[in-house]
Amino acid sequence: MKEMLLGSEAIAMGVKLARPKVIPAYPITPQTHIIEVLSEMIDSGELDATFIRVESELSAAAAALGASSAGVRTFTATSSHGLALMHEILHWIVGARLPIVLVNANRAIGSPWNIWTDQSDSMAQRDLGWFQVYCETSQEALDTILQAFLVAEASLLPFMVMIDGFILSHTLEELDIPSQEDADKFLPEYKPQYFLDVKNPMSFGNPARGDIFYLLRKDIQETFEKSRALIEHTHKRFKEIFGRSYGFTEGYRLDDAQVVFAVSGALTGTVRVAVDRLRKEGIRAGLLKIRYFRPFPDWEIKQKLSGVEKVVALSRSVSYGSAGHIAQELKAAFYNEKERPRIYDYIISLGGKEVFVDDIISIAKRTNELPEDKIIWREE
Amino acid sequence: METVDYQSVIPVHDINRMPISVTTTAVNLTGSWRFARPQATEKISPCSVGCPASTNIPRYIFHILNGDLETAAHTLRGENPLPAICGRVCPHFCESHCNRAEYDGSVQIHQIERFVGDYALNIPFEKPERLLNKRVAIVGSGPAGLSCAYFLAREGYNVTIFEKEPFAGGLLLLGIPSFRLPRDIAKREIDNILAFDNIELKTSHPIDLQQLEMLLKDYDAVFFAAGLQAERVPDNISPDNERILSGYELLKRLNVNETQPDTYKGERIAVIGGGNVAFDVARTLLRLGSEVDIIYRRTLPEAPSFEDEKHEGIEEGITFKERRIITGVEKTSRLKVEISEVLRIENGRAITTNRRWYDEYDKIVLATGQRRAFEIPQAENLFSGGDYAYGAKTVVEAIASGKQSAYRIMAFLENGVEPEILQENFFRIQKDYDRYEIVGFDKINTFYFPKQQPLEQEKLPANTRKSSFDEINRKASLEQILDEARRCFSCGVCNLCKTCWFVCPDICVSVADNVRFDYDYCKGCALCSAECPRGVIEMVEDK
Repeated sequence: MKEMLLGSEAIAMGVKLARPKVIPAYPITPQTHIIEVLSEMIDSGELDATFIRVESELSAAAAALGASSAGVRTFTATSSHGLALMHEILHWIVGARLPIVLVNANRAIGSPWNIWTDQSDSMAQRDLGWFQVYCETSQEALDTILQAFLVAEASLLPFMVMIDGFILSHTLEELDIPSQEDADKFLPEYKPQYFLDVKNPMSFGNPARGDIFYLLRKDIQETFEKSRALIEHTHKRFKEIFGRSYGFTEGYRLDDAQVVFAVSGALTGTVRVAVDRLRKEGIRAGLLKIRYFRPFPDWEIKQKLSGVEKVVALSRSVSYGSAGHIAQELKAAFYNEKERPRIYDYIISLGGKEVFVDDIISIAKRTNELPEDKIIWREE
Repeated sequence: METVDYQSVIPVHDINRMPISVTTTAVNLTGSWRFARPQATEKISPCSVGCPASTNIPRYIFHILNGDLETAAHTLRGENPLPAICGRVCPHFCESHCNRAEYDGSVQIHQIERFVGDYALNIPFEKPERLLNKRVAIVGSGPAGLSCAYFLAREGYNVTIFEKEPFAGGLLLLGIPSFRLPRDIAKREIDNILAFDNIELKTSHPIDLQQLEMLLKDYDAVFFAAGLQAERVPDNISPDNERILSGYELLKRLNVNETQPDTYKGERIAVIGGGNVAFDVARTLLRLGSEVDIIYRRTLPEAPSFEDEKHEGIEEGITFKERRIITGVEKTSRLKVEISEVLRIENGRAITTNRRWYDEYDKIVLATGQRRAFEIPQAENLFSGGDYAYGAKTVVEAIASGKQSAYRIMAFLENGVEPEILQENFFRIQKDYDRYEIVGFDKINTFYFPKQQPLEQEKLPANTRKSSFDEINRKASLEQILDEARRCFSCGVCNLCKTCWFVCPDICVSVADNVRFDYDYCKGCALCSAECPRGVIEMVEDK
């Protein structure tokens, strides 16, 4: 079924199709529409779930932690300061192995106040042990919600789905809405083996000695390593049922490309148009869309960028005192390789600074002037 | 199509590395970490200390709030058999001790007591389990005699009360006007006591010294509580029973309606004195149509009458002439009276200034006090109480003395061996609180008690009152009483509020009929003790 929906509505639709049982959430721009729509769905009976109103994101995360511990599918959404406020609980959710799905509408974090998009908020949470996917379109966001629950619940780790605040959340897009029947076929009911149950008492979150703690943490990393097969399987299954293909990354016009832009989120669309125009002008440009940031698909990236001369990493967040997050990961991926591209660390936008097709084209034309040893900032 | 197994990424053998423990933590006795343990100990509330009858006020209020008025009545009457009367006429010593006094105003205990007392009027007392072969004579059926009879009777002693009037009650009926204590209330409450099969009442049966000697021989013990039956009169005036009257006698006559109501209509009457009798007789005469002055040798604040009586009497229209004495009376068609100003009182005698006034009255009423009619002999089996033993005091003090005497008599009759009942109730008889902690305001956790104004006593308006014998103080509604009862801090008396249960982070507190702690797991964090709103839970060192 085709429908014109806002990005936030598309996500709400995806969540509804996933049939969560509990949604604890606190409003924050630009995410608010998502939980507004969901609360209306619950109110009208369209979605059989409990909406928990809380007084802060910290409580939203804590309530999600509790609900998921009780063994039910749990969803929440937030953005920016809200995600930062959840930080402590986000750690705990990972350690407790709870497959919560969270949508984060990417937005800058103050000071100064800024409600526009960049990836500082979610990149600051990249080390916690949550899956991270950055979406290019609302359709992708909707589809990713369903995939996220499947991956999370099969691996017992939480999943964070990112959309660009306003650029996706507040714009209309023509969407292919899956039927509930297909969604149910794709995503079976969640039946965890262990959950809070008075009839079967167990203790959760008890203290662990260093040796056990170490092993439990090692398990998290191992799960990430093993998740590659699960995610590939998920994408295959998704294509079988819904007909749309997804991967950890997506290469666009990479064959014979000399300059490749590595990018994530909605900016990918802008770069796609720029690459097409550059190709028309005879410049061999290409695009690497990084969809999964955690686990970071270095194996796939190395393969896709094999033979590429220059890679411009377009980050929308900075690890201050170090580098842009995308460049950091790319450099690390290639460090042990004999053949490796020149990698340029470009901070393309922060706090919603506009990026036009011409900006990308101009960067492609000036790659000879770009320094390799430091972050590159835009001049205007 | 291939399907996904849940937890497919985590192999089954890894599940034992989930951060979940499937064994119990019960083996970990966290109580061993503790160095101080919480302990719930019932303590004494200041109001109970203030009450001469040692009524356990927080306890009966607890029963009221539980919706159990019957148990509230039993608890209250367990210490004081006359609560409907005391709720009306007691100067409520309890309220002046109330921990809420300095906070937002004392709990209006007397209104609550009156409510429960009225409810209890329809509940007969429980009969004694067994009758004993011991006989006690009681002289006087005022509050002291009735109280003594009640406490003896319920333990099975056989009691005979000798009353000189044709009915029981003493001052309760003779000395307190009906606008303060309606007759039917007093009579019903007295009759409840007299309903004991092992209490015999002999009315119109005055006891003189000679007869007292007989009683001491005929009975195992005698309790003498005949009150103060003789008049104390000023040196220069004596009653003539026509125009100069005894206040106490007049009050008795008016209270039993032996006088035609019209006798005092339009008369101008001077009442001498400043006690409750002076105000009661003045207010009664006012209601019979007289114009009344009270002439008192000291100031109004010094007058021993209850404050309420003074305010109400003056509100109703009594003229209070302070620092005055009558220095001369000339009996003509009216009484020509010389009144002098008092400079000071020296050794009980008034020294006057040179200021004199002359006035005319139709009658003078002497309410200058009572004294013993005769002295009783010393005897091993003779006990005394009430106003006879302690001078003119309040109803509740008479009840307390009757109660204490009952326990003394029981101890005496058990050959000096304290019967069990005495040990249970030891503080009733000796007011020995040393072993108990009295809970002060500093022990109250006021966080749990938002400020709330006390229930105001509704009264008949003064201009209605002065022509009516209707009860002045209106009865509060059940809702008002419950609201007021909720104000009670329940100092030192656990009312199962469950705050301790709620705040315990270790699920170590259980509250059913009382508070219990699971010392195997209690870490001694003291939250329960710190949060207890009423100072019941304290921390004691673990040894």
